[in-house]
Amino acid sequence: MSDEWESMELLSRRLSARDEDEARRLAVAQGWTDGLPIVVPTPDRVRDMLATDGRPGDHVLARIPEQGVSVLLEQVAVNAVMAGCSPRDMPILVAVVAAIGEEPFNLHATTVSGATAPLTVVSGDAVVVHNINAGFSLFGPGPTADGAIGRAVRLVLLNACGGTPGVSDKSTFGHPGKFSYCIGESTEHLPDGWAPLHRARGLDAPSGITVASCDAPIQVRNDWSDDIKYVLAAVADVMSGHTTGGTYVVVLGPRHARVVEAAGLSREDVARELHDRSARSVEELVERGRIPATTSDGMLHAVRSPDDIVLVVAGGHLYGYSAVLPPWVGGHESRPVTARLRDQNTLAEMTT
Amino acid sequence: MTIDMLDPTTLPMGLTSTFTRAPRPSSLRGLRLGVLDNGKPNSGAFLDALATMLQPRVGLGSVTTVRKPAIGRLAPPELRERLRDTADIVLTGVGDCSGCATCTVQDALDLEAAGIPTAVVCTDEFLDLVRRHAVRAGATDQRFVTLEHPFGSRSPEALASMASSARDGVIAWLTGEMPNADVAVHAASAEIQARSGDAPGGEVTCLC
Repeated sequence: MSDEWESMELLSRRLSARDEDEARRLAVAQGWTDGLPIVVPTPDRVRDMLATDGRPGDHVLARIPEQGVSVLLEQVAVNAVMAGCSPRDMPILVAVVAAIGEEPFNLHATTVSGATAPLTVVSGDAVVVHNINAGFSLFGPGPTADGAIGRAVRLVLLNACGGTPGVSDKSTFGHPGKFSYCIGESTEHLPDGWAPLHRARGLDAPSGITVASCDAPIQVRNDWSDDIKYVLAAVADVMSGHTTGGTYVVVLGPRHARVVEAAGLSREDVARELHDRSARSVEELVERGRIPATTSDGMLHAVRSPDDIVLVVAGGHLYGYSAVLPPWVGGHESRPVTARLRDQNTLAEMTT
Repeated sequence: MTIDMLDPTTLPMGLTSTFTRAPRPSSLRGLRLGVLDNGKPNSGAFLDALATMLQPRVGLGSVTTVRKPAIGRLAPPELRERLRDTADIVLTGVGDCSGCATCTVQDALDLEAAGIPTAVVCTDEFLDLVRRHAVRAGATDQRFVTLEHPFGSRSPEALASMASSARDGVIAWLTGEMPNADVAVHAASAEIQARSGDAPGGEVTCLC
């Protein structure tokens, strides 16, 4: 760290503790944690985080007009330290916070209402460069960087975006992804001709992140068929019970991705098939208790159009599973956002 | 050897210092009422019922109802503009979830700052949340009309009863004679209770 960063003035209020143990207890007592042990955000550790980004701590990454607050870079750095991030994780984390702060994502309402959490999907070169899990036990634990990055996002929501459970976040269940919800898209199992997610969503860059407010993953098993019809029918069937609108994230496991590849389907083809196959009659949905009784009839699709399905390829390659991540209860009031990592040159330097 | 730790929470953006409460009219007679429906189930029906009950009591000049396009966001500028053009006083609600309740109180504070007295309706389970938001925004004197949670599945009869009970509290708030307490309307008995503070004036029954 240069002299400039060592002497940098920090904005955050300081608390003093006898030692790290007492500091950790103090953080719990202040309501700053997710209940798991934290790394104490000392000024030096926070400066290390900020040095990776290079901008001053009062740089505004996101604004939440509904709450009258801004999320500052320094706050993100403090929460990143607490979550156990390494300074090299900062480009991902900073891009995620800026993305969830974009107007279409609707950070306020998705943080305090409904049961969802911001899912981060890292795609492109950064998956390997930043050591993001795109394989076995995709949403689960492991010695990769995604756990701490996802946890840092949650701590930012808790400490800077009004996401305190029971106080402002009054969701009935929440879900385990509210501890950490960050995955990579597989670079080795993408079907032939499929661009990485961020490129498919129009971002011309080596890497990108995509955020979407998602419910917990529902796993869809079909490991007895190599017939694309049945694989997509299974995925669409799980989608069909949810009719709040909004954007679904569908993670195709590598074995299902191979079936898709064999059938020669593009991202658009798969999304269209899932849209079409997710239609159920209004009568059936009423009978199943999924929508209120209504005088209208006809068919309801899980999504308004194929564009409301974000397809990701990831997970372990041994079994025939995919995962459906239903959207936030407010439907189209929250939309996914794809963003670039701020400084690809810095990223390259960090990897050497 | 002590250790220093930084506070990870953020600071308000600066809304706090600028809030100004709209001046109160001595009477609502002839005033134009704007109804800002936040779009939650039953909200429009409840606010309409309340407006209907206000009409014979105070003799409103007109009633204009607008509905927010997004429940969990602030009212868009064009909607606020329309209310400024068509309303002298506003009724807004019903905040019955964290996302919409915060937005509804902030909508009200924005209208107040623009000079339009505004009454806010939310459900009792979210009173702590909206109070905290109002205080943080500098509106320490903000009071609320609260309805018993859950609200969205109430029958039309219950809504009418609750509207009837809420009416006098709304008049008191809009004319500046609000008690130092929120007005709590319970669906079961449709009675009015003051949740805290001093005894209210007017016809509001205080059980504090």
